[in-house]
Amino acid sequence: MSDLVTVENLHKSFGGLQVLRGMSFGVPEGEMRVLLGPNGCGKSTFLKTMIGLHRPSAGQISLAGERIDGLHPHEIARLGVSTKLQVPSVFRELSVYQNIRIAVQRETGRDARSRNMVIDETLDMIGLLTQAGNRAGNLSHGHQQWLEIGMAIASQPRILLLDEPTAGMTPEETQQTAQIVLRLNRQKGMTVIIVEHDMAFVSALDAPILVLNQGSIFFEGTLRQVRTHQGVKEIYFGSRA
Amino acid sequence: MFGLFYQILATFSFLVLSTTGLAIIFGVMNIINFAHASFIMLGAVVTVYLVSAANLSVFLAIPLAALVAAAVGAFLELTLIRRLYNRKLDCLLATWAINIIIVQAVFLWLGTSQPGIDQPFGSFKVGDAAYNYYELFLFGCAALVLVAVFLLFRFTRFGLNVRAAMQNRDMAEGLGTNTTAMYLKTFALGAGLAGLTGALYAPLMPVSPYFGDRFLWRAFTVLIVGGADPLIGPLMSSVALGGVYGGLTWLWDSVAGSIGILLITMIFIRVLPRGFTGLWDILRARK
Amino acid sequence: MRSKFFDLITALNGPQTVGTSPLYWRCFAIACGLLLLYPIIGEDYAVSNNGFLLVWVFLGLSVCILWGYTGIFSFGQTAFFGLAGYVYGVLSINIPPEYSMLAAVCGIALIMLLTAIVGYVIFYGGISSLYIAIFTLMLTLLAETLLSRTSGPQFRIGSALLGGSNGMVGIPPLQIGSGDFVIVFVDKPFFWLVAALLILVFLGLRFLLNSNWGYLMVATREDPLRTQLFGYDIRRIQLITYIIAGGIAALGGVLFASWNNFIAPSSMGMTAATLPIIWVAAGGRASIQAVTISTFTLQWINQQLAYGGGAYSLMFFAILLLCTVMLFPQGIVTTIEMALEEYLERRRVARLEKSPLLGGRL
Repeated sequence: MSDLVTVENLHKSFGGLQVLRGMSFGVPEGEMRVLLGPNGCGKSTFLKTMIGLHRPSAGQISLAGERIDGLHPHEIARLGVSTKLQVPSVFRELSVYQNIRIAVQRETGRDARSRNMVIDETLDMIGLLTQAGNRAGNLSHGHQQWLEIGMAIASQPRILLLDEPTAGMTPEETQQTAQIVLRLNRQKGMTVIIVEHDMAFVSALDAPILVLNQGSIFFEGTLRQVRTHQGVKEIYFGSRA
Repeated sequence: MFGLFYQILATFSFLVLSTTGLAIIFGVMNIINFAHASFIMLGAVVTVYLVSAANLSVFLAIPLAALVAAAVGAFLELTLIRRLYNRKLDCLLATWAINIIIVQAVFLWLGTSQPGIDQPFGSFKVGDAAYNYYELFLFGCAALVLVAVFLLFRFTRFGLNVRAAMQNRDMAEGLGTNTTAMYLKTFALGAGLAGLTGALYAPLMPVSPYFGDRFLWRAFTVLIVGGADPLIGPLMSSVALGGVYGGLTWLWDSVAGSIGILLITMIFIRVLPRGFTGLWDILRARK
Repeated sequence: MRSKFFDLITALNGPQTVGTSPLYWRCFAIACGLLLLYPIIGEDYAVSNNGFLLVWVFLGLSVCILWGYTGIFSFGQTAFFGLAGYVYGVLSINIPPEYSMLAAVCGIALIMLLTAIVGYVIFYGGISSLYIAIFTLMLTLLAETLLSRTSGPQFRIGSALLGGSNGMVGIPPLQIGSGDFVIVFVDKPFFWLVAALLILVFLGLRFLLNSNWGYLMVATREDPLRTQLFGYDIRRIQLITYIIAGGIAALGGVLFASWNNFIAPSSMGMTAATLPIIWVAAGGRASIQAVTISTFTLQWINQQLAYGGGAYSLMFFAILLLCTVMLFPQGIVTTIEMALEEYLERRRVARLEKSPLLGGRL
């Protein structure tokens, strides 16, 4: 069975600094993967390369067998890749409702009725139905993150990329976010790749983990395997001299 | 042949002197200071009045005029500019408004034409054409300004703090730099250099409230083509644009030269938006 | 029929523009009515002059939809305004006056083509926001410099002399028809033409801004990167908006040349490029209504100051710009509008609280 997403031998350098060194993995359709790794391992760079903000120095990324590296960000988005970046970047001046509208109006075009239906459904899924008319900039940090997730999923993407979605959230919000993501994956069959730090979130997701170190995949396994792997501990805490 | 060389030298001096003040403010504070033209004009106006009305030697008047311009700059920074640090476009508009206000104020108070003063040195001939020693003096001044800026940025504590803040303002503040005072000094320095330029060129051109305009847009072209570095930028782009302008003026006329500079700047914006500074960074990274 | 009308009003309403209630639209209709009735009661000179003042609104709207709604700060709109005047002048001088409308349409179309080329260089070339301002400023200076060099009899297109810095004279006014059945758009007919066009453009913009496209304009302004990640090609959004804005500016330029019978490079100079910025900044960037009001008002003030002895007008506008930037970053008219809305909202809530249905005191 071929994967939905394939990353082959991905390299990325900025001038003299090499960030990604031969990263390779695959994600089958409908599955979830968590990308873990210490700071500076290249998680954000990988994500940005995947969505088209960077061009790989070498290697390729494919979606359903078609290469997507080197395409413009909007072209990649149209192929069904939805992203939630680390820094909350909702349209602050617009309302919650209007934010989601922008995410979906390309799909629904002039059909106001189906557009409003999709917007309402999405708001319900992320739990912001009661805040629909509020200015996005006025939302709490956690709610803004949910709004962004909502914007990312509203267009029914094939694959959802989340970059530290629980950054700055309270523990309860983190659990709720995990529930939202699990629902998306299990009920809607969305393929999800998550870059994360927060171990509580990761353990709630209970998905296969890829440990990234110095620009390449160091280890693949379940959370328990990762927790007990000596090599993983070393790259996080440093080995004894 | 000497004519072409002279023309390029003169243009180079003009561009370096016009731009360095602007480039320092842009490089350090990331602000485009449209009031630059009015500082230049103030330098020129103060100089001609000190020389013609107060009978000061022009070599005394010039530094005094520069100080006046620096003072005006410091005042503006204290009252207005510092509220607009994070609003780049608003800062551009505000400095543009300030520029018009100062120019119109001088116009309303002093009228259009101001007293003229003579060039201090004489002229010399090469072949059939006559040239001024004063232009060579200006070249010397331009070179001196570049050296002074280099020394200031490289070897003084102020320069070090400035370079740190240029790279990371929050970090610099965390390490104890008083960036507010630093920005004040930077803006005053930029204004003072602009005033110096106006003062230096007062003996060469008729002085009016609109004196600064011809410097302003050319300074902008040098700034864009040069990029953010206050030293590399004006230096390299003055050489490049000076060559283009001088060459085109010598071949045709000054309007052709102006058009040439505008076109090159527009091409740079499109192709090399970080200017010569960007090119320099790329070359250094490759090594 | 009634539901179609209702649909139309819905399409014209939205978060991007001010005023959505039936009360607002009644006031709007009355204002339009008054506008169209004015020439009947006004005297020739005043009507003609006010018609001329309205022409500037097109330029203001052009800058507004780019800067306020899409986040593109362009100094170039003045250049498109002036160049459109030149193109109309060249065309209308060379062809019989019956076809002046054709000259106008061609002028606008040509300028929109120019806008497309410039816009392509800017947006598909990746020129970033602050540099767009400088790039377009240089473009405007370039246009002014080149056209100022065209004095002398050799600079002519057909029988139209470009005239250098003195400008092109003898531009005929717009007219429809010929011989006995002709309307020449001067004085009162001119006012009607401009007013009608303005109402059409205004409503058209309301429709555009509240449609899907309008949302994309605002999204591009707020967060270009994020917008791209939703699958929108922001370069295309910016380019098409730029062309539309160029068309509106060009329309203004044609009307300007028609009324003035004359166009000069000074209409593209530094001062000329500054004024629209001031109209939009002072009025309120993200409101076509505020900009319409502020443009007309400020140009009227400009005229009054010019009669008094022009030296003070520039100073006035510069001080206005400075005050607006420092004190009213949202624009003066918009601040007033927002205060008015807040006041009306508070009154509405107060009235609700007094309502016995909601448990308030009787």
